[in-house]
Amino acid sequence: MLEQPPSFKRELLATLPSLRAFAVSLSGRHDKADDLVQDTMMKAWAKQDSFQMGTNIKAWLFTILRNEFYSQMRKRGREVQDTDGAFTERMSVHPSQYGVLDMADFKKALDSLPHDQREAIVLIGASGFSYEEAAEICNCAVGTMKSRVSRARTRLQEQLGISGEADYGPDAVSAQVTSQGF
Amino acid sequence: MKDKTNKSETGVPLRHAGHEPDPKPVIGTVKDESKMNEMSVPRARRTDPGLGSNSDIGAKLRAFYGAVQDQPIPDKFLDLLEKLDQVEQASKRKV
Repeated sequence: MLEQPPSFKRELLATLPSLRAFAVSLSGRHDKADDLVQDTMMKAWAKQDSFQMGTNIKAWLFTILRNEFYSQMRKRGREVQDTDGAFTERMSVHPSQYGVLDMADFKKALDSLPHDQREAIVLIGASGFSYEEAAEICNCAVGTMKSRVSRARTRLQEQLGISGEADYGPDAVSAQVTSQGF
Repeated sequence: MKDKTNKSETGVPLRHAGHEPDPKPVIGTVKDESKMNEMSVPRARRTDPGLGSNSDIGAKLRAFYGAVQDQPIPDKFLDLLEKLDQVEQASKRKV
């Protein structure tokens, strides 16, 4: 009797970090992203009966969050997105192998992408979804998803002045192998 | 310049080019090499073009995403989850 609610809660909790990262990627701001995650949690909780345990809760939650994001955008009308200083602040607390400035540049480039391309490259490149799953989340064809990812990658490379394999060299052999896929 | 090129081509590198068939092929080595080639090709194809581990864009994207993902879950989310759970438990007890 009690088994479903606790494990739904646990699974929701386990997905929160990734869900939050997706929200930041979509909205471009931490404060808005957290509101979005909170709204998503409440929606998901209310709809939990419609979720079948054992199926992909991550994709289910991402879909709810994405729908919530776009419906809020429509309600508010188009807003000018400014990048938040909070991001750079947080980044300095959690430094990655890349410099803080470098990452701020990357975020700016990511934020400049059209929404459909941004969500596509994030879902495929960072959230760990397959093209099929991402297409389902975004309610589009798999081919559409592929072309959005490809356009997003090209735009990011142009904006960041990255030509491709030439800019890095941690593993020359696999870089060569990977480039054969192009 | 031409001289230099010719010298290097006719010199040591040619012997290492390995185009001449080995009269006594070491079967084990040949087999291993062909296996390695077979394995490396599908692995490259499986990698998503441009977003694999060697893509700078892909690496930056994952670093950006990971930086948010690795942050601790804010207390307000945990509080909200507790509240939702409590409300649900309470309504169940009433029924």
